[in-house]
Amino acid sequence: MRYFHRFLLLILMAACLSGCPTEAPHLLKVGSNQWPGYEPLFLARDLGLYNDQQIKLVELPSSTESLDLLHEGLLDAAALTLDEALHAIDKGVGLTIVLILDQSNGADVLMGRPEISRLSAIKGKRVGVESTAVGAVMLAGALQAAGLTEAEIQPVYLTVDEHVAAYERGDVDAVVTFEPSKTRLLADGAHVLFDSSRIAGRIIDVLAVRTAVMAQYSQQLQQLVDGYFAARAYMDKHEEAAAARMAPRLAISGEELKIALQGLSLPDIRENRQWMEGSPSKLQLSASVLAQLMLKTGLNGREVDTSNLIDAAFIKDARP
Amino acid sequence: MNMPSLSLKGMITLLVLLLVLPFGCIVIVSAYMDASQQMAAATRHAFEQKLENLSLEIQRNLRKGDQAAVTRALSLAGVDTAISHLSLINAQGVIIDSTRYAWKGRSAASVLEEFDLKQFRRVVQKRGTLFVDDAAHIDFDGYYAVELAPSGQHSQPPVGAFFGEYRYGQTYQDMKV
Repeated sequence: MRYFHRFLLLILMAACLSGCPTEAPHLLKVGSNQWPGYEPLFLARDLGLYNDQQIKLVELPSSTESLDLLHEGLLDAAALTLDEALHAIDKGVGLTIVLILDQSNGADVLMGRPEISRLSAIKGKRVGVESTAVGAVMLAGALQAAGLTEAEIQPVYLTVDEHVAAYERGDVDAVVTFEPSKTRLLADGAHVLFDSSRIAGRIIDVLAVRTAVMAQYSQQLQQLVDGYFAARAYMDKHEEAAAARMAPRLAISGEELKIALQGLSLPDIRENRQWMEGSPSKLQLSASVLAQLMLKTGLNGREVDTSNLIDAAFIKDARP
Repeated sequence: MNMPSLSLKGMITLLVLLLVLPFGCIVIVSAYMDASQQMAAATRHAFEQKLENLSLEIQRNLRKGDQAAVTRALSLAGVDTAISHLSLINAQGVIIDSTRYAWKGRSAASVLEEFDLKQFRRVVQKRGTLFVDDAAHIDFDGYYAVELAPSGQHSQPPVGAFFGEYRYGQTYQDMKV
């Protein structure tokens, strides 16, 4: 009899439990602007590698929106350049880097007029450059290679949409730029004097997560990283098909995307580990140098502390 | 299996349970359905309100000829956790702008599985709205007619529509958070 009562009690408990609502998973919102180096994330989504109840990729027109939305807490993570991440931290957004997406390896260039035959000939010339850390890093690298100081050139500060027009109007003799302006300037007769392959590892794109939500989204972040590397593996095996899937989001052809990707280095899991593991890690050292440069050039109000900037846990556990 | 003999007390307990359990279930299920319907109505209203505000912003940008601002407005609307995707579609059924950039310039019917061209045309013709529940009531699709050029510029301004997918489940999750 006692057993029968227990049996009834079990049935009641099971009925109650089955009525309880199951906890829906939290949705990780990741912002990204259009940039070839960020495309494997979208390829992963396209290949169905992300659970759309857990990960939402938010497509945005520029990184300005990503930074604003991170600041407002409306995004949980974003694909950013390292300097943008440091700038956001300077403005009070706690960010942690969990993945290196790409490194500029020739995609950023200093281009000059045909009569400027060698890099050192930019001495005394008007050089167009963006007021960003990437612009500052490129210019500093070019000046170092030319054996010049900034005082020996005339910097002309331009936004990226002004590069081609300023060159065509004759307002500048050389300009620090990148695609798609690079292709248009080549058509205008300009030629490359210096490119980012000579300062490899200095211009880096990363996946930055709001530190405050890291613990809450650990499962989704692992899924994001794993999916990213699975998409990278797909790119290696099916180059044409991957380019055809990725190019429409950038409004370019598959061939143009392949050319654009040639100027980038996309670190694999092993290279990511090499950059992110250790104390201090290679990425932390690189970020420290950049933070100092950003302070020196007035881009940041303080030198950002990079000691807790990186979390290599997701890379450590990554499996494509 | 031998059924154990029950005492009178046990028999009464069993009978009460057998009567109370189904009644309780009916009460819980009907309360749940009622709450779900109310939540669905509130969610639809919120989505409609969002689309109305967005259409005003987009028309303002179209008046200025600022296509970049149209893209920006739509992209920012897409940050909403409950919106899976949202597109602005012209009367020919071609996506003019979208929270999914790869869809721009493509036929809505070719990329959106749930898109119904007949319903879309009806919404555009009547300049109305239409919300369609999916079978499992997890999300719904919304059509919302919008003028694609400022009134006054044309005697009959071209009309298109927003088409988007909204998730009930995600709204519920947001409310809990």
